[in-house]
Order: sequence, then C-alpha cells, then structure tokens
Amino acid sequence: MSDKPIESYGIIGDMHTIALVGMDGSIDWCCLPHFDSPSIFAALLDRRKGGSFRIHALGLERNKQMYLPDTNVLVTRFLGEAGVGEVVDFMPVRDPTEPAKTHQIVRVVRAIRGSVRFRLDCTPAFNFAREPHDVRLDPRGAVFEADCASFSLISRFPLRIRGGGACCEFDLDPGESTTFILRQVQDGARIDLLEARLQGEAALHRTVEFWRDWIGQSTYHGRWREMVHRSALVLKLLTFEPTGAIVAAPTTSLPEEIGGVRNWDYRYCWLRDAAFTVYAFLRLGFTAEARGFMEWLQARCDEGSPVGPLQIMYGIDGRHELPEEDLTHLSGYRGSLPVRVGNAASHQLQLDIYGEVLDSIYLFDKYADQISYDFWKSIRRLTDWVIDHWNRADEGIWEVRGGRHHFVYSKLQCWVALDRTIRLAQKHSLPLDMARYVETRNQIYETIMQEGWDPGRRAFVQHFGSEELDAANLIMPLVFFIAPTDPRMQQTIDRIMDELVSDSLVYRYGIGRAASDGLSGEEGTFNMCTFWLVEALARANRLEEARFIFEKMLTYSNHLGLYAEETGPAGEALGNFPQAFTHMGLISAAFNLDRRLGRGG
Amino acid sequence: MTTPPESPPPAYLGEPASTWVELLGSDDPLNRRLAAHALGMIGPPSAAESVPALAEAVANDPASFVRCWASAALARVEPGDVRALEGLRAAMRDEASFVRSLGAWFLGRVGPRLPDLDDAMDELDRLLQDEDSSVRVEAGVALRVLRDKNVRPRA
Repeated sequence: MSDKPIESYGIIGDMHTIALVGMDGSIDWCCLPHFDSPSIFAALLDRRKGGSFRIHALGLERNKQMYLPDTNVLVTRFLGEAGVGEVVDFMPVRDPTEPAKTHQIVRVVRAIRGSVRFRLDCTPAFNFAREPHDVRLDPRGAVFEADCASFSLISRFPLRIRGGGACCEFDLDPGESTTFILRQVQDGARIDLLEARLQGEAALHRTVEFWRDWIGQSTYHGRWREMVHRSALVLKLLTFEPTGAIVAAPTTSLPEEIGGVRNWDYRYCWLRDAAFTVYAFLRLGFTAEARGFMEWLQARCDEGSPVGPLQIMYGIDGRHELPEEDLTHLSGYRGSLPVRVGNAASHQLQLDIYGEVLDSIYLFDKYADQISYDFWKSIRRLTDWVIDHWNRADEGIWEVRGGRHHFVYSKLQCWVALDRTIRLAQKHSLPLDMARYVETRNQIYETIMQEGWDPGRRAFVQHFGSEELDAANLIMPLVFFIAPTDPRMQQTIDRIMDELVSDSLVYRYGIGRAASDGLSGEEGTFNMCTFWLVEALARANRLEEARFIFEKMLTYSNHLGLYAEETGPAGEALGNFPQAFTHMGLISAAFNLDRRLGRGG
Repeated sequence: MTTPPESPPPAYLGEPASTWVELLGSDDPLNRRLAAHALGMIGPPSAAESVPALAEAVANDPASFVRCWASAALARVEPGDVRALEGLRAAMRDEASFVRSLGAWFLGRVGPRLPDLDDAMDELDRLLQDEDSSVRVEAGVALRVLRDKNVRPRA
C-alpha cells in the first residue's frame, strides 16, 4: 500500500499529544503520552514497520471525514450500497475526578445504515519501531508491553494476537455501537470496571462539551468563521497543557519535497511560532492560552542559553537540549530521507525571535494582563542583549544551514523588539534607558532602509548585499515598521508577486538564488507567506487582490480545514502537518481582511 | 467446459471453522471466548461443524462468560436453537455482574433473530433494577435497541 497523501489525515488530541487519523480509519501517527515522546504509531513514516491502529468497515469503499461541529472529535465515515458505518475518534480531555491524566485514544464504532462488518487491526511499534514488545490477551482486550511503556486495548469483542498486534472483526446492526479504548498503563491511573462503551460515551460527552465551551469563548464573528474556528481548534490542540508551551506541529519528517531531504522534527516549541500563535489566540479572545505561554516564556527568560538570553526552540517541558538523530531504520514518507528526531537548529542564532516574543508580550499586556515588574526585568535583559547584538549576522527565520547573513527580517524583528519595549515602558511608565533604546531602534530602522533596500530592484531584499527577495519581508507593514501604502512596500509586494508567487501561492524565497539553506532540492510554497501576502495587500487597501488570494488559499486546505506547512505544485500538502504557523496566518489574515472589507464586502 | 472456481471456505480472520472449533477446546478461557466469537462470525455456512461445538460450550464450559459468548454465537449460527436463548437467560442471572451485563448486551444484539423472547425480555426488565450500574445501563440500552428493532415486551 502506498503512503497516503498528507492532506488525507484528520487529527485528534488532548493537549498532551495528537494522533493523525487517515480517511481509511487508520491512526498512522501518534506519540504517547506527549507530543515529543517516542511514537507508538508511525506508519506515516514507514508503512511496513511504523505501526498503526486501523478500524474500517469491510466492503464499504467510500470514505468521508468530518468533525463533530465545534469540536476536535473526528468522525470517519464508510459508505457503500450495503450500508454506512462510522468511527468516532477522540482523545478525552482530563476528567476532573481523575487523580492523574489518563492518556488514551477512544474509538466509538457505529453502524448507521445496514448491518456493517468492521475490522480492527492494532499493531503498535514502540519507540519509532526500535523497541520490541510483547502482546498478550487480557480479559478486557489485549496488553502491549515494552520496556519504555505499556498500553492496553480495551475491546468488548475478543481480540486475536497476530504478530505484534491484535485484530478482530465484528458486526454491528443499525443503531448499535461499540467502543475501543487504547490507554497507557500507568501507575495510579483509575481502575474503572465500567465497560468501555459506557466509559467511552461519558468521555465523548465530556470531550464534546469541553471543545464547544472552549470555542464558544471566541469573539470572532467575521467572515470565514468556520475556517477561523477550525484553525483555533488546531492551535489549541497544539498547546501542551501542563506547561503552556505550543508545538510547531505534531509530526516529524513529513517532507517539504517528496523524496527530498528537508525533513525536520517540529514537535518542539519554537519561540517564533508560539509567539505568533499567542497573537492569534489573543485576536480571537482566548487569553488563558496566552497566559499559559507567557508563564512558560518567563521561565525561559531566566535561564539563558549558549547563543543569547533565549534559544530559538525548546522542548515542551522547557528543556534546552534537543539532540538530532537520524532514524535510519525507517523508510520515510514516500521515501523521503532522512527521518529525523530532535532538532540541531536549536542552537542557531536567529535574532528575529526577540521581536516576535516582544510583540506577543506587548499584545498580551494590551489584551490580557498587565506585565509584572519581574517580567519587565526579564524583558529588559532580553532587549539589552538585542541592543548589543542586533548587528550580528544570523541564520534567520528560515534556519539556513549554509552560513550566516545579515537578514533583513532579523533586523526588522530587532526593531520590533525595541519598539515594543519602548511602548511598554511609555504605557506603564516603566524604568528604561529610553534614550539608548530609541537611538538603537532608529539606527536599526535606518540600516534596514539603507542596506535592506535595493534601489535597482526596487524591493527589500533577503539580506544585506543580496538582490534576492524574501517573502518574510511581507510582514513589515503587519508589525507597523512601514506604512502598507509606502511606495517601498508597494514595490516590494509587486516584486514578490512577480517572482515568488505561483497561482496565488507564495514561495518563501528563490531556492538556489537566495541564501543557501545548505540543502539540495526544491520545496513547495510556504502557506504562512501566502497569508502574509493577503494581509499586506489588505492593509494596503488592495482588497480585491487580497480577498481573491485568501479565498483561493482556503481551497488548499484539506477536507477538514487543515493545512501543512507548505503546498506543492499540484495543491498537495507538504511538510509537517498540521502546522501552527499556517493556521495562525489564516486567523490573522481573515481577521484583518474581514475588518477592512467591512460589513458590506 | 470449465469447472467454476470453488469459493473459499467460510473463515474468520483467514482461519476456517475447524480451527476455531479446535480452539474452543483450549485451556485458556480467553481463547475459547475468541473461538466462540469466530464461529458466530462465520455463521450458518459452517453450522454442521460449529453447532455441536457451540452447544457443548453453552452447556459445559467452566467459564460463565465463555458460555455467554457461545450462546450468542449459537444464536447467530442457528437462531432456532433454544439452547442459545437459554444460555443468554442464564447469563443474565449469573453471579458475576460483567456476565449479566454481557448477557443483556447480547440479547439486544441477537434478540430479534430469536423466537419466544418474552421470558428473556422479562429478565432484561429485571436487570434495570440490578445492583450494578453497568448492568442497569446495558439492560436499558438493550431494551432501546430491541424497541428500535420492533421487539416489544409482552403487555
């Protein structure tokens, strides 16, 4: 069986981890108990060895997927002449009566029309299919045991052990349902003697209520509300509840080019991505998530790192070390190698993170809670460092591995860092060496205007001394560095639309022309940049162009409204999936475009 | 003239009824439960082989939950066999709550195939007052399922 398209998956999760569920009812990716734990299902990265948990209806060949409205409860449907069956998948949120969080996947199987025969195959492969395990029958189902973890599969139907997995077939008449629960065997977890079906129904009810209550807090009432809310639900799933960290995506090594080498592990908290996500949450009125991240961030501010006060990414528990390793025993998604876990970019110097972090703090202060004095002291430590280091070359937002440059985007975000610090100080009369800050901020501004602007190309360029474009510069008016109608910005937008846009979709830079990322091959268009283009156009009152591109971009989501990092030339999803950056971009673009279109647009 | 290809023998998870009949004699009750389920899934096409084995399990298996599974399987293979319904009624009176719950669940599932359900429906009604909450819930669900399938308790 060939690998399924990336966009054919839906996701479920519990703010500790996420599972990817295919249209065929197969869970092909899940790391338990946490986002960055080793996988137990990784068929996404190796169909033969990776492990999966599939439930599907036999003889019903057409598949559909949907979410129960306003939830992250996924329904996979099987349709045919003979009947209709459904699998309702979810990961329960924590039951307040539980002494400890139970990590589990619940799969409720139903026959809707006709008598439906279902087949279940659960074949975990522990630790990215590196660790052997035993499987044995148990009165309630089966137990899978490895040195690193144990999981039980609770099933009302008797299971048969086959290889390292368990399987069964069963018939359901219309209106009948049964529930399977895969749960981690934990010390201290509640031993509940209720049947799985009864537990599952209670958990389903609780989980549906949780998601509806959560999304009900949204203050967004503009156009494209369904897509905006789906994006918010994705972002919420990407938050790690115990610490407030936000992962960039729940997967590793889904390629930016099929068969290519740009395969990265995104199961960590990038400050850039998380800071943008906080902005999206605040835009929609979700302050608790922003507050959780700020607490996590403040702890990082006080720790330091080898490359500055902050490093670009951390583990979701705040750990600094994310050693990169190639999993050479896995065949990779459609042969895309290497499969990586960990991320060697964690110690790169990327100066832009300070701007993104300070902007999120500024917005948090504006829309949620006023920052504390202790946090202010941490902030000043960050921005004092920026004053001393903004003129260094770095690896930039795209994490190039081919050498440092003076990236315009990095300088721009240093300007943002100082600008927002100044604004905070002025707003709350906080102590700050204002003259020094203003002088440096202005110096950065002039430097960008002189060295980042190419008068021949009539565009802002990727880095000083380069003639190449970079779609990241589309953010300039979004952070109020430059007026959206300023001729320099208009001309930059036009150049980017001429050179980096294909069928409304935006490449982040010209591979082979811009700064080398140290890797061979191509990549798709970068979804976040497409949404930045929409927003830049909207702010420049080029509303017709903005709306057309935005609405076209909506057609590139998958059947559930989910996006990967990139979109390929045939409209296929590329890169890790789903990606916070993209969904944050959608929210921001929708919000600002809707506002400018006004009521009648 | 060519001989039409023979259709594969009825099977469950790729194994024919004979394999499951043999497993029904296993020392492990979990395997016997699996075997009973498998024979029920294979159904009438292997009745000649499976009915005697299932009837024996209904009558004599030492584990009450296996007897219950065998009863349900027998109801699928040979719905007119009174031993199936008797086995399910016995399950609903079992001392173990999970077996009573199982019996109720099965009655909801296979009940419409069975003749003379009245006494069994009375058992199900009685389980609505069971001391165990999961039995009560299961009995309620079974009654609803049967109602949906137009099986009514006697007036």
